[in-house]
Amino acid sequence: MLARAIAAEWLKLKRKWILALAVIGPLGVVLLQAVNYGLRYDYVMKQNADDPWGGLLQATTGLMLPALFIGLALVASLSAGVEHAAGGWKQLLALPLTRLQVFAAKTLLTLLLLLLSCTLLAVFTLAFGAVLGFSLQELPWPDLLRQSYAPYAAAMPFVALQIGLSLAIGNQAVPMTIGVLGMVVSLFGMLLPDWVPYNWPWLALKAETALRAAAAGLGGGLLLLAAGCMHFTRKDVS
Amino acid sequence: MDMNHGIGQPLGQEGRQPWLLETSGLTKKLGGKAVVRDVELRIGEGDIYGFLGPNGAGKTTTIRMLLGLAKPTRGRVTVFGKDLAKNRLDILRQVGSLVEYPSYYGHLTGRENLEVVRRLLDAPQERIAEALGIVRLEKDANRLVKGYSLGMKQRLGIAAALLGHPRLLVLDEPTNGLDPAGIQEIRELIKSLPQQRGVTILLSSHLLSEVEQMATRVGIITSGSLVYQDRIEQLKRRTAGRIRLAVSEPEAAWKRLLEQGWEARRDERGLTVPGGDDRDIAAIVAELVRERHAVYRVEEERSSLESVFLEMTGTGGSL
Amino acid sequence: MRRLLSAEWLKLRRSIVWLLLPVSPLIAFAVAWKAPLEAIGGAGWMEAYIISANVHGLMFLPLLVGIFAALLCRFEHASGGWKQLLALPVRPGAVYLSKLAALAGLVALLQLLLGAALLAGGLLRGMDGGVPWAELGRALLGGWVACLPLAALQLWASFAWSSFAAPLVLGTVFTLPNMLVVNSERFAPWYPWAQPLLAMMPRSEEGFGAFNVPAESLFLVIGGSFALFLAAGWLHFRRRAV
Repeated sequence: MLARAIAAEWLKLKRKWILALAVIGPLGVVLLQAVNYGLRYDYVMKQNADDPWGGLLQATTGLMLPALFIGLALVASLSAGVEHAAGGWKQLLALPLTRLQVFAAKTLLTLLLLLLSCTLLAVFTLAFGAVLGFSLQELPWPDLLRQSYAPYAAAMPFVALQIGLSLAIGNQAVPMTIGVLGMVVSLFGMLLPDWVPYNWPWLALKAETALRAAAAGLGGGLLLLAAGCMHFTRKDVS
Repeated sequence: MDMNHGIGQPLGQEGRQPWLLETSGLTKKLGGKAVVRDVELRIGEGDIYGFLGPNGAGKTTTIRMLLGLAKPTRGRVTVFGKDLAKNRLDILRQVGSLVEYPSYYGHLTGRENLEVVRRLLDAPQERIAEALGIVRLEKDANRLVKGYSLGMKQRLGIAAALLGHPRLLVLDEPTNGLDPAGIQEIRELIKSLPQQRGVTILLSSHLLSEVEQMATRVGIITSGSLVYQDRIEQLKRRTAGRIRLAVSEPEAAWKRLLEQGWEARRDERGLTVPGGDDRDIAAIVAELVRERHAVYRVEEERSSLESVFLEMTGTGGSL
Repeated sequence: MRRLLSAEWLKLRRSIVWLLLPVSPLIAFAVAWKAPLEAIGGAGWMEAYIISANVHGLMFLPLLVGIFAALLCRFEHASGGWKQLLALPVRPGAVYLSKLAALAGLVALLQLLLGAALLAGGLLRGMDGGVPWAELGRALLGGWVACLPLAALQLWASFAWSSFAAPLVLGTVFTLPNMLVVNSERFAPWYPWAQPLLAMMPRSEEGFGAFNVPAESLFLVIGGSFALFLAAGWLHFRRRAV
């Protein structure tokens, strides 16, 4: 049943450029680094001479986190927005599906698309490093995988928040605005105390704190998803 | 007219069991105010049930509760003999619905819209072509729905509602905003469905004339309460005429008749008496002549359905 | 035009714009009042201003221009309002210009609030020395002027796309590279989205990167991109409107 619900959600997002966004996001992050390296190749390479991969990974993540924040807000808003747009809820929820299935389908699709973006980021980064002639033998796999997926897990509370807001509020200007502001706050996240969720994606980048940040993110995300789901299953459809 | 009469029908008419859809004490309060109060709907298999009421009377709220879109504050909904609160999915598998205005995904084609619903229902692929055929949208099936006219969107909504081969079809104001040709088309479609596919239809409207032409049973809701429910023929019988008497001094004549124990009514155009029994009419006329009233005219007056509704709902002819 | 502007004002009254306006002023207020400014060599007005302007100008300001533009056009997209608005006895051009004026007005209000919040925070802290009115005024005004090209572009995008998210994504895609661009002496002066921050940095300060680029080249870029985006948006609007 869930598979069918996700298949239906996927069809609804046709012509919304959503797959393109999932590809363009990580591609843009890496392309911007390509421009950066292209313009200041000698300077950047000299700075990271002893650890070229590390330098590249670090440079990439600076843009990756804001892209992740705006991406999760956008996907959550698009997937809820198609229902808000023209009375979709009353048709969808009068079909033989539980509200939990509807919520789960939309959430899983959002999570899968973001996971795809994170995976593509790792692939594009690797490819770019190879183009620059970095040795694949020296590629720090644990670092690459951690930087690609740990922030994703640590950002889960924000995925849950944006899904909840987008489903609860018909006017998508509100969740999108909150998402954009959240992205700006996240830029300064590392200046905030460790317990503030905006710092978690940053903590997830560092080897020593990655596991804790990812676990906290998954835990917090699940709690918020449960709260959002409870609200969604109980509310009347107008 | 007795306002309570409609609900408490004699058991002989209302007692046939089981009903396909039945509600008991259905109540919805919004902000402390009951927008639907103790509604007892009874819909039989094969009925086209016309659910009538003025705008804002609680029709759509009731329908939302029948579909599980809103939770009743109190009361039960039983469909196909099962409690909706406990068997929502089983019931909804056999229900198709179109609530208020059509739901659609404008950035998808008509066919893709139906495919979304088909995937969720896990219905066979050929149902899409079938549903498109029923509502005659085959030609436009591959166009984006945002370019559809309102009537086409409405037909697409009905196609989506039919996709699961429902036993019960719930159509809320299905002709709202359509032009006369579109209304005629939807009307023919709705009338054909019960015979062709054995569907029971719940059809809501604020227009009496509309329901009158399609419905086999009617329920009338006003200010959240169901004030009438019976077969359409019963309703039409209630319009049976009264006798209008045009006399020289209506005021005095009316008082005299009342003194004599006749059930006479005075209005601005004269007076009326019940038209049931010819001998009563003869006696009344004799009485008036005896009292030296000039009787100009004795005529039967059939009140229209509209005026019956006017009385029941306290609103104008358009409910 | 006056009537159109007052209509825009009415439509804005219940908008979330009013929740967005105080965000960066509140940050400026907190910085001026409580931030450990001594650590960066002095607790003066300009230190507090530079920190606030960095946070505000790098991301908030260019993104808020995009959000405001999308909010201003949302009413019309939401309920077929364009038809209604353009059926009124006003020229389509005037409709477009009134939207742009409302947008510029909101940004001006934002800059004023930022200045006021900074002053309030500084006074609460009991900052020494007189308020550098001229420098502050010039920097805030410069930031406002530098936003005008972005305003014209975002208004165009918000009008052209009925989706609320699309113009926001456009704004974000071009604003995010600011993080890299502002460090480049060669490219920052030519990048429109970096201009609000550059323009808000006081000229007299010993800057780094692009922050001490002559004002003449900045205004060339700002003026040029404004003319380009305004003309493109205007033409598109006129074509669509008729």
